Amino acid sequence: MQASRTKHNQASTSGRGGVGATGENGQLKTLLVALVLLALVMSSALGVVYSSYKSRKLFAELQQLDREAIHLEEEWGRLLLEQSTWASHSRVEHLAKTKLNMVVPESGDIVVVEQ
Amino acid sequence: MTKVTRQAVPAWRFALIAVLLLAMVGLLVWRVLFLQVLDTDRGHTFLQGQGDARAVRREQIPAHRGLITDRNGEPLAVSTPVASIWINPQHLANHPTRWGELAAAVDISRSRLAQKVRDNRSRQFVYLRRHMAPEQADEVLALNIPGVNLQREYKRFYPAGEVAAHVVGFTNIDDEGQEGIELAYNRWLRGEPGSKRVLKDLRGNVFRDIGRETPAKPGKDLMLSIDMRLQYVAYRELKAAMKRVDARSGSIVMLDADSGEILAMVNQPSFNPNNRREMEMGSMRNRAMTDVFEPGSTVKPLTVVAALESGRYQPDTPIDTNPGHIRVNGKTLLDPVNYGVIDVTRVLTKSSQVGTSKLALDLNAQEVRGVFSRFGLGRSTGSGFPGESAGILPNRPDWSDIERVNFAFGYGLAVTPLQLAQAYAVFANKGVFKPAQLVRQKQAAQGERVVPASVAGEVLDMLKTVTGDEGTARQADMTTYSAAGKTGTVHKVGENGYADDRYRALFAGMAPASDPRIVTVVMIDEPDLNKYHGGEAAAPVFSRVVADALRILDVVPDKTPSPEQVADGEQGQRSAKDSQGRRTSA
Repeated sequence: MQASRTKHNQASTSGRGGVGATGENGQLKTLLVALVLLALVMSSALGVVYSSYKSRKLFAELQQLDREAIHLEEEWGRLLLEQSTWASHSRVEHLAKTKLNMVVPESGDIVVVEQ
Repeated sequence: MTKVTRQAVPAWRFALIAVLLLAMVGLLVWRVLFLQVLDTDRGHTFLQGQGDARAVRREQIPAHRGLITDRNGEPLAVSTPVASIWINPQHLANHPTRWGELAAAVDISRSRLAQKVRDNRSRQFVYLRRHMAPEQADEVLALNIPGVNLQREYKRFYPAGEVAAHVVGFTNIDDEGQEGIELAYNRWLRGEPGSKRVLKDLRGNVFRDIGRETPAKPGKDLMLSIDMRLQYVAYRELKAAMKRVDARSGSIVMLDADSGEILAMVNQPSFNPNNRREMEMGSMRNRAMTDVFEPGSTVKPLTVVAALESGRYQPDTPIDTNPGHIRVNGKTLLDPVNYGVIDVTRVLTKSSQVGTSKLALDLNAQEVRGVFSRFGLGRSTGSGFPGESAGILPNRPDWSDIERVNFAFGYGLAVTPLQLAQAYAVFANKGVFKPAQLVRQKQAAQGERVVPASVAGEVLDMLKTVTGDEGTARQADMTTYSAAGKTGTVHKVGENGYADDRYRALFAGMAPASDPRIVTVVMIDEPDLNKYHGGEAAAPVFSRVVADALRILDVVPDKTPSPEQVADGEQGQRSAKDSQGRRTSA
């Protein structure tokens, strides 16, 4: 009964002309507003999707870089140790003596030149 | 036709239903608000917390420990990433079929793994294998066995190995310093671990990193004053000397005279910090800083300082040491030979016990002790090195004659090799005392004057004679550089007082004598009985080490002939010289 009453109201007011939210133009306006709001809601939803996708992508990239950082750190440590081994004093001395036949100059072999 | 009569429903009934429905909706909304939006007792934060408690875990991100380098940037301790495998026995227990696979991947026997799971079934965290190479650990994780996890850690490696092991020290498996510099500067080196939050599922697998809370703060690097080139030379020579004289242990300390920085500090026996599996406790001590001994004749120059300061003695004041022995409080002290009447300089040159005793008896005991104290004996160097000894410098209200005499030639007090080097550096610096430093200093310390420059200079001249032809340390002399110093041969204490057959051989010296750049102390513990004197066991080590060290430091030799002398002396031999390929002056 209430429904019929509203319809009756609608019918009566529509008869009065297009002014108001419930008129022919009013209906269009409502539709427009609703569409605009729908569009906004959709875009914000898409925005959420996009930003969460972006954040996950960046996070994956961050993890990848982290792993790379660990690899590089490892390599740095390994290279440092390798260099220390190759350049260790005992090894260099041994090579200098045996392979290059180097000797420490005697006192008589040293000439001090002064400016 | 029957008229369908619609009976009017009372309006209030309709309203009542509407109100009831609205009330129920309102109740639901209120409940939702209460639980999920508002911050009430069992509301939003509580539920979030409970959810997190079930899924979110905090994992530690290990911090990279700071690098330790020598003064030239050569690495002495390097941190490298490793991975440790840990299991959750409660999860793993449900998958016995995969234990064999896991055991093989981690390189332990299946039975051991089973044992571990059984023994720890009430726990949720047990290390399975620590400090694996990261690739190996990744392979284990790739097997995808439930309950198996990876923890990133750091492990220390020591490129210098046994050469610098005592100074650098080492860390334990949790990357905390245990000995040496690693311990002394642990807080500086360790940094702070970070944490990150992860989501774990029912089986304990991490399925998502949800962000980093705090990044790890890496530790700070540390540059020591040690010069690895000199450290290596000293180590090589000490090791050779130990074999040569069949000694029990030994130490060498080398200081830079100008800054007080420790350029080299080596000990034997040593150990390999990279593989400590078969290590003896005795090899770990940095004896140069932790072990004390009676310095013997090496403190005679300090007694002479006291004598010169008293004003009653000059370097050429004669002292009668006839007949070559002296009796003090019932004890007889003798010289190897009756030196007769000698001057103060010769007392040091020959290291005469009688001469020193006579000096001591003529001096005020407190003043002598005061000199020793001013030179840094009996005091810690303040380096913070774990286990460093401050030595023993006794103080007494009354000194008996024998006590005074003993003190004057180095018995009845205890010093470390480092303290001895620090004391001799005062002569190298013309009377200024500079504390020894183990960490590289940005600028040389000012130091404080403890002795007038004239006195220090006079004693330095006396010390030059010790390495000369008449002195006890002829073997400390080098062909390229001149040296000054003092020997010491000290009886060790046995079960029944001083032992007759156990000695310490010492030499403390500096070079070049004309303008000393480095001060070196060599200590050999229980050398062979055929060559146990300081001049025989320790002085030759000094000459070998210091000759190489000064050459490495580019110090101009002060004993090679100048071009003029070469040209003058060998005018007619120039062609011969050229053919031998020697460099000639322009």
